[in-house]
This record gives sequence, structure tokens and C-alpha cells, in this order.
Amino acid sequence: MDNVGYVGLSAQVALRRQLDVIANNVANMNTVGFKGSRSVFAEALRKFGPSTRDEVSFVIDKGTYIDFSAGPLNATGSSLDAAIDGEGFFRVQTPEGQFYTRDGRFARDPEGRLVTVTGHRVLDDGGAEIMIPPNARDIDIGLDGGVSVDGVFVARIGVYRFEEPHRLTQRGDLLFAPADGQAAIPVDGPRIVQGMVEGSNVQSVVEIARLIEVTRAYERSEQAISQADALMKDSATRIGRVA
Amino acid sequence: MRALSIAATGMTAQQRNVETIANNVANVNTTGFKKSRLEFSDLMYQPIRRQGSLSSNAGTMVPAGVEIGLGVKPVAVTRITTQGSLQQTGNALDLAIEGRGYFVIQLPNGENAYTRAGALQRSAEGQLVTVDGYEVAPGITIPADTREIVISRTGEVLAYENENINPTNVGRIQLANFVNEAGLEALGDNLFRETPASGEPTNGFPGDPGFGSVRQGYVEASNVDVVQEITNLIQAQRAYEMNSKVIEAGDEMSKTATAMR
Repeated sequence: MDNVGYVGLSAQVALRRQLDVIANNVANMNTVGFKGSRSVFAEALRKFGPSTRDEVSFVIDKGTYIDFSAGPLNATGSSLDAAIDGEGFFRVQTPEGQFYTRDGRFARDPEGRLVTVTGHRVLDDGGAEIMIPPNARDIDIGLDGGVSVDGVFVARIGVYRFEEPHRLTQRGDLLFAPADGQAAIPVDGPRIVQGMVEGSNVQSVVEIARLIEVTRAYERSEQAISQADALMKDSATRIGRVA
Repeated sequence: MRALSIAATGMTAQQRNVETIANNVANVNTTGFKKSRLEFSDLMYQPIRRQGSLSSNAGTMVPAGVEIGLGVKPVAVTRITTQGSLQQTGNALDLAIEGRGYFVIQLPNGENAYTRAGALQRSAEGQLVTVDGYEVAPGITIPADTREIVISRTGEVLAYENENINPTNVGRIQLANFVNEAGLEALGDNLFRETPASGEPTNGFPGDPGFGSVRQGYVEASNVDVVQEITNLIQAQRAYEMNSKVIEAGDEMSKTATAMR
């Protein structure tokens, strides 16, 4: 009998975490280069009797995965904004090492290096920093990622992809970190669009639908627990009563 | 329950976004104004179940763990320094910079400030000053008996005095450039100040390589695009609402939990 309570509890714990995942997606609805996450639930079985009928299945939230589908491209008109149209990531250098991002809101630091809005240096296809001369008038980013300043080629922004993107982990600051042994592969013929940024790929309608689903599922498991509780109470009073 | 605080970060961020948009819209007619954009980034992630951890003695690994992101943060307010459109005023002392560069302004405390707003005036002593009365570098004095002032595209200020047919060159307007214009600190009154992020100013004259040219009789209008701002406003408001829905859902779930017994 106890199991009803614990099964319901396992569902509730998982649902609360799913709500956290949804909350993070919704909070980042307008974050450039953000990729939403999804929860995956699984069944955990526990046998407590010899027959196969005596099985109880609990819920565990087995994992979250990142949805790498493309976000909408929004025009900003700023010459230092760039979006990757198609697969791939920009490579950036941070104090903790190299990471990958879809965030193409670039700026120049006081030394003239191309950096992301979070202050990380953007690397070219050879892994070097990209320097923009101080008196640059026109900065042009070509479709292939080639950066030219006043018509003079400076560097080519590196775009890399991964064999198993689901193994990447999120680091905050819109950065993705490869798993151990996961190698970055240069993208053959990337398409980079200047003056655009890639919006968040979170779809508000989907998130709200999930939100309703989670709330209702939570209520259902609560009802199951309450009913089991009522049953226990009922049986306790019946057993105790003298016929 | 993290959902409540995660959604709260979303609401705070959208509120900041609306504030930035409000300032842009308020300055839609401000000479030389440059619009700003609030930049967001995701916060840190908390692993509940790490990917890559062993799931059996046989060495199988967890392919994807449970990671919970903790919300959103505003990281920067980027000034978008695109050229504003040039508006003809016909006023001889209205100057617009076409291209890159800032007028250098001497503040009363001796520091330099920088501006794109070129609606200049003459002070009582004949000096070229901004509408707030601050001197424009390098300090150009226009003779009292000047009948006409011509400012060339390269910034030479020529004064026609009395009945003279030939003008007198009274000075050349100076411009300053920054490697990272977005890093300048806005002082209000259309003025900016250099910061470690913007880098040291590079001084030059209009028309020099890397510097814009000066147009007399024009001012540079604000580069705020109202339609775009309104679209952003709608987006921000809806995002705010969505976040409040998440808070509602979290609240409802807590209510359900407390109603259990």
C-alpha cells in the first residue's frame, strides 16, 4: 500500500524538476543564441514479489537534453552582429579554456580584438584571436565568415560542429563545452549572416502547453496519493471496529 | 522549488529590457542619440545527475545528465552606433558627422567628453560651444565682426569678416575615435566619457582615414527606429507575462502539495 505514496512522490519530484527546466526556457525566451532544454522521464521498476505482476514502476527524470534546433534570425543592422545560418558554433577563448557558442553579438575590446558580448575572445579558423585595426571604418563579415576591414581581409571566423551534439554541456554565458574526447570538426562552407542574430529557439506556446501539462500531472499524482491515504484510513477504521 | 526564482530572474530581465526600450523611445527625437540594446545571457547550470558518470560496473555511462539552468541575466547594454539620418536645418553652426568619430568637448572640470550632437552655438566671447555652453576642441573663436561662417567637410572653420572677400581660417574642428565605441560611458546631455573598455581616444580631423566628414547645416538625428522599438516592447511584455505564468504554475503546484493533508 505504501507504494502508491512513493510512486506518486517519484512523479512529483520529477515534475518539479521539469518545471525548473521549463522556467529556465521561459526566462531565456529572448536570449540571443539560447538553446532550450527538455526533460526525459523513464520508468524505474522494482519487483517485490516472485510474479511479474508484482512490479511497481517509479518515475525518474533520466536526463535533460538540449534542443539544438535553429532559432529565428532577427535583423539588428549592427555590423558586428553575426548569425550562423545552419549548423555549427563559433569558438571562443575564455580563461577556463575554449568553448563554443551560437551567440554572434560581437564587439571590440580596447585592444581591438573581436569579443562576444560576454567578453570572450572570438577565434578564427586557425584558433587565433581576431584583431580589428583601430581606425577601421567598415567591418564586413562575408557569408563564409571572412572578416574584412575597409576591403582588406583580416581573418576568417571559425565555425565548428560536433558529431554527437547531445553530449555538449551548457556552461552559462551561452557557452557549450564539449565532452571528454569530443572533437570539434570545422564546418565545410559555413553560412554566416552579418547584421543578424539568432534568437532563442524557445517556443512560448510549446512551453506554456508543457507548463499546463506539468501542473495537471502534479495534481493527478497528488490525487492518487490522497486516495491511497483515504483508503488506508478507511481500512484502519474498519479493521479496528468490533463487528 | 527553483522554478519560482528562475522565473523571477526572467521577469527582472524583461523589466530591464522595457526600461532600455523606454529610454530609446523617449530619445527618438534627440539629436545625435544612439539607441541601446539590452543583452541577455543564460545563468549557470546545476547538474543533478552528471553526464558521463558510470551507470554500471560494466563501464556504461550516462549519456545525458540532468542539468538545470538557473535563469537569465542581463549582461550588457550595448550602444548601437549606426549612423543616424542627417536632418537639414540650414543653421550655419549645426554640424553632423557623416561616418565615424566624436566631437571633443571640454567639460568645466577640465576633462574631455565626446558627443555626436553637433548643434553648436557661439558663446559671448565668440567661442564655439555646445548647447550646454561647453567648449568644443580645439577651442575655436569666431571673430565678432563675422558675417558668414563656412565649415568645410574636413572641419576647417572659415570666417568671412566685414566686407572681406577672402575668408580667414580660424581653426579646424577635431574629432576623436574609439576602438570600442560601445564601451563609452554615457554621461547624459548627449555626452560620453572614455573608459578602460572603450580604449584611449585616437585624435584626428574630419576626412582623415578612419574618420567621418563634417556636414554644415545638418544635424544627426537619433538612430532609434520606432517600429523596431515597439516590436521589442511587445516581445518584452509577452515574455514578462510568460514568466509570471511559470510563477503561477509553481505556486499552484505548491498549493497542491500543501492541500495533500
